Amino acid sequence: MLTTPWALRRNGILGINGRNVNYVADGNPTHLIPAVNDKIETKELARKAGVPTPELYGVIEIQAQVRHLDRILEGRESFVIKPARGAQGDGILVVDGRNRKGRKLASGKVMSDRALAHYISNVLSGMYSLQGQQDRAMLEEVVRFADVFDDVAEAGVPDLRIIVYRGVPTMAMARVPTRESDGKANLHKGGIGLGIDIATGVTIQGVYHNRIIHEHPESGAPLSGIELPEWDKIVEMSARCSEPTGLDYLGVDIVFDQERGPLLLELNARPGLSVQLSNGIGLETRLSQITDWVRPEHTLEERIAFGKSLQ
Amino acid sequence: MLRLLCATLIALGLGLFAYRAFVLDFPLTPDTNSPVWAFEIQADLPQSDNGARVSMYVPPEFGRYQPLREQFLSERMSLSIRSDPDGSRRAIWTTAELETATSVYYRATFFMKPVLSADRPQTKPPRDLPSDFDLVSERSLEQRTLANRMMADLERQAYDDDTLTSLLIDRLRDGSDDLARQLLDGRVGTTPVAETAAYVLNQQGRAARAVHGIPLRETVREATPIAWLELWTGSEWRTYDIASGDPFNPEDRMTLWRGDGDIVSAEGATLSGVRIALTRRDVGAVQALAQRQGDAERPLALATLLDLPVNTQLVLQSLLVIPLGVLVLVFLRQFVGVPTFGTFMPVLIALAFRSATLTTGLIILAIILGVGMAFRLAFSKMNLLLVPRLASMLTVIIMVMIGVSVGADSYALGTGFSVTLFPIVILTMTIERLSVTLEESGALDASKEFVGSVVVAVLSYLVMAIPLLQHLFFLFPELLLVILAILLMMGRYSGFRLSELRRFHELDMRG
Repeated sequence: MLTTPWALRRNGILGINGRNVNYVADGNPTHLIPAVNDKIETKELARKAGVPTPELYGVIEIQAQVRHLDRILEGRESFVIKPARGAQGDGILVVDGRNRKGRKLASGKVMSDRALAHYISNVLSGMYSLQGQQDRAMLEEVVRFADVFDDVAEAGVPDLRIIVYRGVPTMAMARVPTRESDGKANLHKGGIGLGIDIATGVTIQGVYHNRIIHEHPESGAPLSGIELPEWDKIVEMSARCSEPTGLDYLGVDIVFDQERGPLLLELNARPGLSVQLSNGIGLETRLSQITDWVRPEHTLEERIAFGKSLQ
Repeated sequence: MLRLLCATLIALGLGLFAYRAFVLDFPLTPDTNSPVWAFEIQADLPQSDNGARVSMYVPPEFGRYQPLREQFLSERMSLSIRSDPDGSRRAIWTTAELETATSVYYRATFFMKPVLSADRPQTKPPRDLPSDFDLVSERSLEQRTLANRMMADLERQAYDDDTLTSLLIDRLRDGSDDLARQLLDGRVGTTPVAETAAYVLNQQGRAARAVHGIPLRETVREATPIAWLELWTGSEWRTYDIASGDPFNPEDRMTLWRGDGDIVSAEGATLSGVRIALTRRDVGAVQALAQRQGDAERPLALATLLDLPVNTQLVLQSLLVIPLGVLVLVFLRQFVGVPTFGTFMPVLIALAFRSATLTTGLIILAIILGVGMAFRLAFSKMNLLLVPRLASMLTVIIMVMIGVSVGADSYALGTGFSVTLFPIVILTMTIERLSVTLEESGALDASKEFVGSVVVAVLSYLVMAIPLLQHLFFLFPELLLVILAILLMMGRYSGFRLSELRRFHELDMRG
């Protein structure tokens, strides 16, 4: 049940302290991090990088704007409310339509206009933001989830997490919600991390509550061998995000839309380490190869090719 | 860069610590009892119409034992203090008329441990050697002849000045031959022996003198000064014990004065009594250190937090151990990987525990959190805005604390416990975090973080409550530099956490 530090080091595993000291503290300048933590600014970064994102309908910055919700939405009835600085998918509300009583939520409940206004004001006062600072509420296009994971993802919308180091796509994982995780893709809430071969886009194995698994814990469906569509595009999108952010060590979150294909959802300046378990490979192994190889003059294509060649 | 900084901080901290602990003799442990001597010389004077002048030898200012506090007391007599070239100090009281019998007192407290360097110049070397035709000497020509005869005898036997002095003391003390008896003029005791030995040596051009003092052993109501001999070796004064005749280290004797004469002498009146009293009192070394105040010339290194007002000291005592608790917290977070609520919340809780016992503290924490959580759940149903809701929680927590205080008082639970020391704002935020974690991550995560926080708080408390550490950090605040260095180094720790050895153990089998 326990291993030794030297065994982990031999296997090239990256620990939290190692990530924080050697990659986040040394590679991600503090003044650049707020831009990735704020989803509105992230959208701007993505636009510069030429990476598609869900459409932003509008931003609510002060309480009084809630009254103009309909004008901001221009009559659209389905949208997502997100705290701009929310962490781990907290505070996201998916609205699917409306009826006489109020807004219909994706979860099936109905929320009165007053309750919705209250919800937004909680978002604005920083209830879901990282350090409780004042926040903004984003009104965003609802992603029409494309069923690319076959019958593995029945309980919610999975997303892809790609670790990019100095512009080189390093390791990838899909985060798949389960019934246990209540439709959320967060691994510590019981979601499954699905390791993806960065070169081919084929799933390898899963990680569930920090344990390596090969079948879905609820449905029993096999987790390996699922081939993801548009993989090359996804890898390219993630690599493109690196340059405008200015961050060395970056987590790129991508979702599949039925019509628009892969969309950038958010960026993360200190992505988690479960990706190692789901790939069965230590991150340090690959990061050190990148450190030795990468030069400022390397082009995007060279970086992508190197990332796909990583063992 | 960081290493250099840390090395400097550690060297600085430990260096200062070592200097103060070992050179200045600051107590290293809280409960080393060292004796403190209360010393009193009392001289009684009868009524006299002519007035009087009383001269009293008092302990020299720069002796081995420094007075912590001294007092010169008299009734209607004027006081002056003189220092002699040999370091002796005299208190001189004068008055033109003594209407009634009166007394003069010298009172002082001495600390047993020499707090400053023992090498302080005790006395200066003799400026001139005494002449052998000392006309002012009270001793007669006959005595001088006797002294010369004795010296001539001894010089035949002695190998060097050292043995000569020992032989001289032995012969005078034993009084077995006529020569010695005549020199002593029938007097007995250490004082005439030391004085006579000094006289004999002086006749031969050797600088020697009698030293008078009190042995510091037990409480004595009426102590008699004893004497020993000092001989100038050319570079230092060497001391000889009268009882053994050998050189010795007078470390358990408090020097009073040097040369011939009595401890108290009076002109114009006859002393009706002289009394020397000595009381031994065992006090904590820290207390003794605290009493050593009012020395304006002492070096800055001697300054301690004990000089501050007591209230400030109490606050500082708490503040100084916080870094220790934080050290425990950082260790548990970075090296073990214990999840906690907030960054410093466990240490602040631990600090609150300090004013109660651990059990009482935990019970009170449980009550506050329990009641607070109940209100929080109720509030969340009312759809309140965040800031007003937090403010309401704060108010609720203060009310709970008042309730706990009143309850604790009536049930005598942990007397003297100040509930207000619980960090109210931190508790409010803790309840907020607890309930948000509970709602969003479920009971498992919430309880993990909660248990982690309590474990860290308890461990921090246990470390902060170690009396030795409290004492050390209070007397040697420079140790904070060492803590700072350790914390800085931990800030660059990139190794694995204990929790990761479990988290990633499956990857080991594959590699």
